[in-house]
Amino acid sequence: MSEPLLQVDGITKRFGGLTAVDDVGFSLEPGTITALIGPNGAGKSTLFHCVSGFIRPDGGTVRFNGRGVSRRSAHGRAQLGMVRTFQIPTAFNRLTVFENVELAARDQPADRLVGALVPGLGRLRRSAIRTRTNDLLETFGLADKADDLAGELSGGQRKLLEFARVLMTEPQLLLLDEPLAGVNPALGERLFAHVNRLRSDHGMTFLFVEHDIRTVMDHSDRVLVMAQGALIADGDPETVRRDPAVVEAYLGGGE
Amino acid sequence: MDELAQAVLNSLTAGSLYALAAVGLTLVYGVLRLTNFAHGDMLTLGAYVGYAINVQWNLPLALAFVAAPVVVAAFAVGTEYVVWRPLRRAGAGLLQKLLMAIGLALFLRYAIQFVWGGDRDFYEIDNTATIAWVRDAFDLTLGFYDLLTIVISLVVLVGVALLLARTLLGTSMRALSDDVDLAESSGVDTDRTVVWTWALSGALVGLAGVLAGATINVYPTLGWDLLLTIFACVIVGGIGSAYGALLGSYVIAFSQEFLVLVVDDQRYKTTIGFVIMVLVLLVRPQGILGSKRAVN
Amino acid sequence: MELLAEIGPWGAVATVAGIYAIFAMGLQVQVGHGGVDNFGQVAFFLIGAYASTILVEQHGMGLVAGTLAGMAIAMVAAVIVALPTLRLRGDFLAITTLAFGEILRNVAVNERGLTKGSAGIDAFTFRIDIVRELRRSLRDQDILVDRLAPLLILTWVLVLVVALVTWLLLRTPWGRVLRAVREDDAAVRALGKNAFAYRAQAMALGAAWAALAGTLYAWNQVHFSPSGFEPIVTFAGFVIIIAAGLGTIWGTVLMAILIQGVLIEGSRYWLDTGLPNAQEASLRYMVVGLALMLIVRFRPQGLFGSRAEMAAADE
Repeated sequence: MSEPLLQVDGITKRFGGLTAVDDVGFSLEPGTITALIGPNGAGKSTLFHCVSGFIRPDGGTVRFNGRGVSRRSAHGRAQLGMVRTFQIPTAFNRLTVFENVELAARDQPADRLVGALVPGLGRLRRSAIRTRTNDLLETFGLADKADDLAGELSGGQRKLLEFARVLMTEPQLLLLDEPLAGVNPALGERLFAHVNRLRSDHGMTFLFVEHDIRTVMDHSDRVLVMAQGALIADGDPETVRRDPAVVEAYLGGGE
Repeated sequence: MDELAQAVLNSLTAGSLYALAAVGLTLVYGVLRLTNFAHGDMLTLGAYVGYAINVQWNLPLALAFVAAPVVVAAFAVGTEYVVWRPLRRAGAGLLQKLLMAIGLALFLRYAIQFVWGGDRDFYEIDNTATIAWVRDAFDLTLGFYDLLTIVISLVVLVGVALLLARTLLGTSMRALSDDVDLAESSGVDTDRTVVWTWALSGALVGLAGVLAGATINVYPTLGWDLLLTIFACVIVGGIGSAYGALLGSYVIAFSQEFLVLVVDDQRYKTTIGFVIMVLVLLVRPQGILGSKRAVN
Repeated sequence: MELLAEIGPWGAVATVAGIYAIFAMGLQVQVGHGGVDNFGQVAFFLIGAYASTILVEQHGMGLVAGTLAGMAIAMVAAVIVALPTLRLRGDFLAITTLAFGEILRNVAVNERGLTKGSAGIDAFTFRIDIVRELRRSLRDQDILVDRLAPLLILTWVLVLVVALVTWLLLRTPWGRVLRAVREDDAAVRALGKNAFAYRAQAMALGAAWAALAGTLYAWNQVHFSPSGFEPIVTFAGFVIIIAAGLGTIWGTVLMAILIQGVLIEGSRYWLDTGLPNAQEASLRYMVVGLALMLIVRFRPQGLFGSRAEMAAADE
């Protein structure tokens, strides 16, 4: 029985009188890269927050890996393996680059207060985490910055750091909020090279939000389009690009 | 029955006093997003201005109803120039502002204690005088200064309402409370409005100080002891909203007077106010009349 | 032989300074590391003092057990306070925690059956069972000690223990996540870590230290009443941690000595203003208020902290 990795049904979110997301549903198959696009104010971010658990929707359900997660908190969902990034890359500025990545590892006995009170607990696990942290920093070209404070990184480096950090959690599904915003084209290509590699090597699944329709064409195998809170198109990039409703939404809705 | 009627009268007095203090606190919050922990001690300052005039200089207390608002307003405006404006310009964050207010509150309270000492003092007035016809007609006690509190509060707050609704200053204040950026881009003179907000806030709480001095008595922690209750009024009504503060003041005053009859222990009166405030914060942080925006 | 036979007024001052060092380190964990602007830290100080005293004096519990029980009760209370209030915005959190402290103080004044109200309560077991016995047995060996010396030594041993435990804890992965929470709550949650639980734990740990300080306060006072638990205790703690710099543990200890010890408690011994005592006391607190204002305005990072700490306190 093949169940989709992520199953979203009937998500609705209202702010006062405004319906930001109106009864949206979709599902993601494992190992796919899906783009969620739409003009500004289409409700993409709100939907994204609802799926990742940062906003509680007024209605609808989210299932991940066959289990209902609608009542789970944001961190509870992340623990199951659906992990998100932020539009403005977040970094813990006063921790080193190494610590930024290291702290994200799951199952660290000493990152709980009780565990931390027992000296030497989880030493073995900690050395495994260190090795993996070094590997990730190497992969993302941050190895020589390992001991710098994250606050000293450039914008592009912060983007890479956030990527390394979320991978440290060993996610199955990565939710990327505008991964290309403020990123130069060369870095964008690098990021998506990583995405493709992670998909082919580890079978990871990706959903990312973008507002520019052109940038997603080369990078996704499926495109979801939102306008005014509703899902208006769903298909491969080429089909979606020619969809009259999509053209209308972008020409009529956006400025 | 008499007990309940008396509680209504007491609530009206207390609510009127709270309202005078609460409106100033909420206006400052609305315009500056500043939680002024020194507001209570400004009330104390007003009370001691009354004490200086009435007891030390032997002049009629009536003078204090003019002098205290002027002195406290001047003090409040002074803090804007010396403390608050420089701090805003330095880009201070929330914790800095809270601690600055605490520091100012401590300084003011102990400066008052330094000058006037730590004892409880009374104005040289007959604050046992009651309104005869209320006693005769209803067998209830309404002190002369209680009635004065209710009347002054009513008159002054109607004036404030008119000021907010009808004048350019009032419009500017409401605009700043609503949306600072929009207000500034619409040509509101922020600095000037802020100064007048402080003046108004100080004048109101200075007046409240004299009334508190007359109806309670005068001691250095008078205002600090009232401060959390005034916060309760402001928060219950909706922080940043002047009408909310008015409403919240009577809600808190009535709750205190009546719930204390239920608890049957006068000493828990202030605690009742705090508990209501905490409950409101947990259930509806924007209060009864406040806007969601003011609390986000 | 004479061993601390006469510790004099400065010995008493040093004891109080040590108590405030422990109290302020608790506040430092909450504010400087957890990012929880707790304006009601005195509530946990009160819980420690009253709970241990009532358990020891009225229910015959041992001194160590009573102290630990006081700390445990404070931790439970901290979590109960944290559950609803940590979701509030910063200034509402400050007002609510301040109100929590005042509510407890009101309860301590009013519930005379439990606390003996404003008349105050005695905590003399330490003085009688420990100090007297100790001095008696030492006197048999011809060693004289001041009756205040045992608590002075105990307090400062505990200051070092608390500082070391806190400092080490903050260097563990737990402490690292806590720092991350203070910087960016949402990013931590996105990594699958319960940011809320970390804040609540910081609150509880800080409450435990405050309760320990409260118990020491009770033993030092021997007789104490609710008037010792006014909000000014919390504010003194804030002055100490802000002057030290948010986040620094050892700086907090040093500032507790300088501010609570030398300035507030000790100034009567080195400063002669010629003013009556009451006025001199007022002047002391005017200086404290003014110092807080000047630090916040001109050196928000404190003596040992970095400016980024104060900025991060607002996120």
